[in-house]
Amino acid sequence: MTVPRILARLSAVAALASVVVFGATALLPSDAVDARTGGRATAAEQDRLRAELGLDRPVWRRYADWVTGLARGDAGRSLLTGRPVGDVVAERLPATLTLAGAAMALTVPLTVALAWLLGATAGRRSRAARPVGGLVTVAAALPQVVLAALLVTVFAGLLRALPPVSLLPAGGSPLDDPALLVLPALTLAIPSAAYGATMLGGAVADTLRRPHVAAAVARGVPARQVAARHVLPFLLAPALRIFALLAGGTLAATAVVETFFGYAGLGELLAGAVASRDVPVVQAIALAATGVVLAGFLAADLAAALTDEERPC
Amino acid sequence: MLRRPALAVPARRLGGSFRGRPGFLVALAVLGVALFGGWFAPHDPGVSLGIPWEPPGGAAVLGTDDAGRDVLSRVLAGGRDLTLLALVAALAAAVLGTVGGLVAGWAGGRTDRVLTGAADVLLATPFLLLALVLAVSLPADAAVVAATACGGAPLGLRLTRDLTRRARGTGYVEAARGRGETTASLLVREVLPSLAGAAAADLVARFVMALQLTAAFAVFGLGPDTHSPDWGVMLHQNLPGTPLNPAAMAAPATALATLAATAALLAHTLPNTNRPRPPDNDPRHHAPPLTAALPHTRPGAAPGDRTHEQRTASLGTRPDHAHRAPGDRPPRRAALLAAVLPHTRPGAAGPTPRDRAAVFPRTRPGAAGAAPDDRTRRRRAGLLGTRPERTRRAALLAAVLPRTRPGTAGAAPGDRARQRRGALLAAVLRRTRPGTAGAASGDRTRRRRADLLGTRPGRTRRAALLAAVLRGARVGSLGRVRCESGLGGGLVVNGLTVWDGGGRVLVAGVDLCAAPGEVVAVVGASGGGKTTVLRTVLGLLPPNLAVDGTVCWHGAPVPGGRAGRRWRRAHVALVEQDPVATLDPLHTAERAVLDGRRVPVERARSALAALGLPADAGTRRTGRLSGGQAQRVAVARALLDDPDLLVLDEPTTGLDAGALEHVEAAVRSRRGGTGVTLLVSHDRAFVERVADRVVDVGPEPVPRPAPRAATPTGAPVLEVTGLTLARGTATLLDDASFTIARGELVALTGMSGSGKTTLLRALAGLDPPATGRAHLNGRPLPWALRDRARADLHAVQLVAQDPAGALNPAHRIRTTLTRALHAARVADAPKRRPPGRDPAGALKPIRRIPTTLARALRASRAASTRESERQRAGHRVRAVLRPLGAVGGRGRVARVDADVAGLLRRVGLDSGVAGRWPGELSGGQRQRVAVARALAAGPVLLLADEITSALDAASAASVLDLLAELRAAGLAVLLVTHDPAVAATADRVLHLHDQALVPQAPPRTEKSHVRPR
Repeated sequence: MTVPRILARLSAVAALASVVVFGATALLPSDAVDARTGGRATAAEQDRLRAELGLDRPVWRRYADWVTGLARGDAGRSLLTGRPVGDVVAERLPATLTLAGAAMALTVPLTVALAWLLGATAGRRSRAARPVGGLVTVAAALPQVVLAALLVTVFAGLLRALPPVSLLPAGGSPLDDPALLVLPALTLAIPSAAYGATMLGGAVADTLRRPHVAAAVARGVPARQVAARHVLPFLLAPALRIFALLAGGTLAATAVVETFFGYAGLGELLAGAVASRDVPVVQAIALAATGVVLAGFLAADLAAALTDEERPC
Repeated sequence: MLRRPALAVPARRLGGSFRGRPGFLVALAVLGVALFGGWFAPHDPGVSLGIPWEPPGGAAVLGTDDAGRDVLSRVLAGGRDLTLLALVAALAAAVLGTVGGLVAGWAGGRTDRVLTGAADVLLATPFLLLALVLAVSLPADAAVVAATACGGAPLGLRLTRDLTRRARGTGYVEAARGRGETTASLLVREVLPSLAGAAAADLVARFVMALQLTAAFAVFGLGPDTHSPDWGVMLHQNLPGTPLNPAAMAAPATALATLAATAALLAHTLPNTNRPRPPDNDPRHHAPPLTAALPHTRPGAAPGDRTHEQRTASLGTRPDHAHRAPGDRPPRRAALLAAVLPHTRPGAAGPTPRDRAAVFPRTRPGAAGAAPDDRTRRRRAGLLGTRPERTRRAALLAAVLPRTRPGTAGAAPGDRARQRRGALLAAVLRRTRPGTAGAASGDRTRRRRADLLGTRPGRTRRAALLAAVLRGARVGSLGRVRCESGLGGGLVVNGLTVWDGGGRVLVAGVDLCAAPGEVVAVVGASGGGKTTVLRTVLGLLPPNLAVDGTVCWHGAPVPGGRAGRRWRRAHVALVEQDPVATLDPLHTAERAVLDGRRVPVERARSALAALGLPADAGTRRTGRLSGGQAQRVAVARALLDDPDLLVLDEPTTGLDAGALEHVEAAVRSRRGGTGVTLLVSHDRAFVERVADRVVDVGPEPVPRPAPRAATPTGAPVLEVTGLTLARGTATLLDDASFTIARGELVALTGMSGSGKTTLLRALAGLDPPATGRAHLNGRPLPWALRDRARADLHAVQLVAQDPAGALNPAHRIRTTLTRALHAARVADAPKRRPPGRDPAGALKPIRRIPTTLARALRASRAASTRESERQRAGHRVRAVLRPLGAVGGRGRVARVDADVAGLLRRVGLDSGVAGRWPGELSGGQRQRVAVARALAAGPVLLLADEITSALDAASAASVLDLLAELRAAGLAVLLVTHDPAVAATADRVLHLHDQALVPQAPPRTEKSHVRPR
């Protein structure tokens, strides 16, 4: 695919994703007013509230307003506090980016190592590799909550080595006390790396099975050269694609982990906003996370275009 | 439950899938505890027992929680709602995904694009995020279900779609289309059963997803209220009390983890059900990896969207997985042994004493009953993968062997003893079950026997060796290649023998030597093991082949493993068959020639120029070169360093005359140099021009179906005029005309890619051609399947190339054949001609449908008093009702069984095959069943597409015999082949070349290539 086509496709997907996000929060029969008033308000009060929030206008108008607002950098105001959503998000963003960054810094090397292990032993049915495959499968299936609970039980409950909750000091940065980051980052990284490894391991196995790799082995090309010259270039695009997916998943999972550990980040904000039906906040955060995934896909597609076998040279 | 007679058949299948799969039972148990654990709670989970977070011990076994309630009781009770919710969500996602995937995969085109596009958009949104967004406007439970559906269904959809697309192209689906089954019937009967394993795995994987969501929602406080026992809620509530009572956290966490892990592991193993086991005699499974077709490796596909899960669920056979067909369970060893042992005692049924003497020429009676730690026995046990004194199996083996062969133990050491041991093992195991020795490979008995000995066929070198020994091979060196010192320079190969995983001989005792400066050519029939010889010499044998003999390079053995790799890098250059595939598509030609060696790029350029490549070719990516150019790049890479040993495997196929000259000059220039050149080619002229010596890896001609004296051919069955075929923009066949007469076997030959298969598929109605007319029995035959009358559908039947995909792995042979017979009967009820009973009748020309119907009506009116009337009516009723389940009494079942048995007899198979799964049959047997399925329709024209190419020589010869027989009975056969030996069995040969069909005489003069294995 050419670069313009990649961009066109991604913008289409981004537009669709914004429709999905908006539609999921706005289109369903019970709207934010129902949820906020909990059915206790009279019909007149509800109507007044709807008019105030602009919910009485047609859906497409609201969507258009929302999108044009986003284009201007205005994501609306929080229904709960009345503050601009942009400010609320910007306040929490650094903490979450730090956590997600730390998690990804663990995830990426772990994914690569596990994927290589799984992929390289896929055809061999070796005894050593089978338990690894099982462990990875289990780790990918563990709910983050469970992993968090187990880690807390072991490191905070039994070993008392790390704090069970990660409460950020007011106005402080998580980097002031990196110990706070350890358990949340591990909780995010382990299932994510395992999930990524099952996918990337498949790509590794597929590439290793390609005839030119087997031919290089038959010619006696040293293993390291085979990996660097004949295998890794083919894994660049899938790896980037998988990392984009993992980044999006990690960002979404911060909601669980931050809530669990009491870490004041974007995820906790999102969970709270969902609980209080603060629609504009939910929409903004959801779209931002989707944006991260799409940006990752963009990078992956561009890398794929570079390693495209059809390119003339 | 499994014993109830009403459930007998399904229970057996169910039992078959449970046995040997304890995972299923464990998963069921875990699910049961999660759902019904509350019944066993020692306390009321809602009642406070004491102070909060009391540590374990005392009244509460696991301590108390934040409100002083019993943790154990709450854990036992806390799984039900969560599990139920996750089950509902998983079911919703799996059903949506499977149905969507079936639709997308089957319909293709725009429907496919829309559905997969929607799936992609949903996949771009992390599903936890989607769940949270949905939770804004939906109740929490509904949000979990909806988010699992939105996040999980796309995964299932993509997987099911891929599998459906693949299934759509398989032989069994095409055969069903060819007999006129409806789309609904195809999807339900053929596609869905083969997807069952994957769909089940998908369901379990979605369950895990939903479980993750429900647990997360509990943490957000969106789930159940704080009073109800729920694992997720417990995790949330007891976090602050971790230091006081860790069990309050650990217990629900462990419970959730166990449930999720069990499900995930189950999903991990599930896709293995219902898939064919790789047949151990299918040559593609022991073909050198370079030529092996890997159906699930799609170069160029975006690997990111194919998860591991998708690949393991692929229908393609993967040798690295235990493809265990349901119902094929590991045999009960003890029972088997009990059955086996009585016969192994001396004097039991078996050959006469004289035969035995022939097998054991030098019996030494005195040595019987030697000490158990005897070296020979230990070696023998080592050969069989057992260690003495360790296992019951070893003890048993030890008990069996001395008794059978008094005197072996302690026999002379050395090769002879080993050979005798081989003969001995063969004798023991053969005589064990006299009826089954030497049965077709893939045969269940042999597998059981191998299982008894702790090896599985087709996997390891040891298993192959054992299989070879069982088939009576004499193994000299315990399956290792030797080198005796004192042999001269160059390459020396002596008595090289290779057996495949089923113990058949691939290479029989090849001797060759090549001195420095010599060019030695290895020639022989295709499939004769030429490539295998080359790969064995280089130590590149696939691990499932057994080998014996001597290979020396300059008087020393060829190293194996990592040392072998270094040796090849330093001394060997290799041009493999299909060299284009060996080039890295991302590299430029120059980079490919250099191959990471520290050599100036100018040398690569001059090497390319020496082979006549244009100057600009060096900077182009190898994927952008033409086939002939890429092939010469591979040759240039091999020649670059003037290697000590140059190995060329078919270097000339596909080269035009000019390119051939360059390659020829390059090879000839090595004569008289310092390097050894080994060359495999079927191009005798080329070999004669370049080689110093020619080694024939010997076709030993055996009787094969002699071409019949031209049978008096009847009226033309098929007349085709003005046929034009195209693939994409390329025209394959332009305005061709031909006829095939009744009782005629016509071979269709041509280069690969010339359009042979396309022509056959056009005739079969699968890919209608651009233009052209066809007449069947003098009546116009429409091209597209859907335009053909039922009778025409049945009159033309296709048997496809791939024996692995020919039969639905989810159906027993009986089901497959019954279905085909049934379809034929529905189409042609009044004639009632089960082909098994009336072979001649099966070949009667088909009448027009209106005539047929009219006759049917007339006949039924006239015969209203006859008993057959009721039967016929019953036929139709049952035809309608059949999909609903078992309709029809015992008599019908017996008759169908008789028909199936008759069909199987006709293709030379035992009626016992009817009860087998396709995975249990050899390639040859499967191909015969595929022919039987085609015959069930009662065709007048059989289209056979390379039906022997995937078979070993013996099976191929027998399938050709079958075709000859059918032809003699009046069937017209059009046989696509690339093998001259196969073409030689035909009455006429049509050669597809340059977009035209050129009649040729069958190559009768050519030496026979079929030899026994």
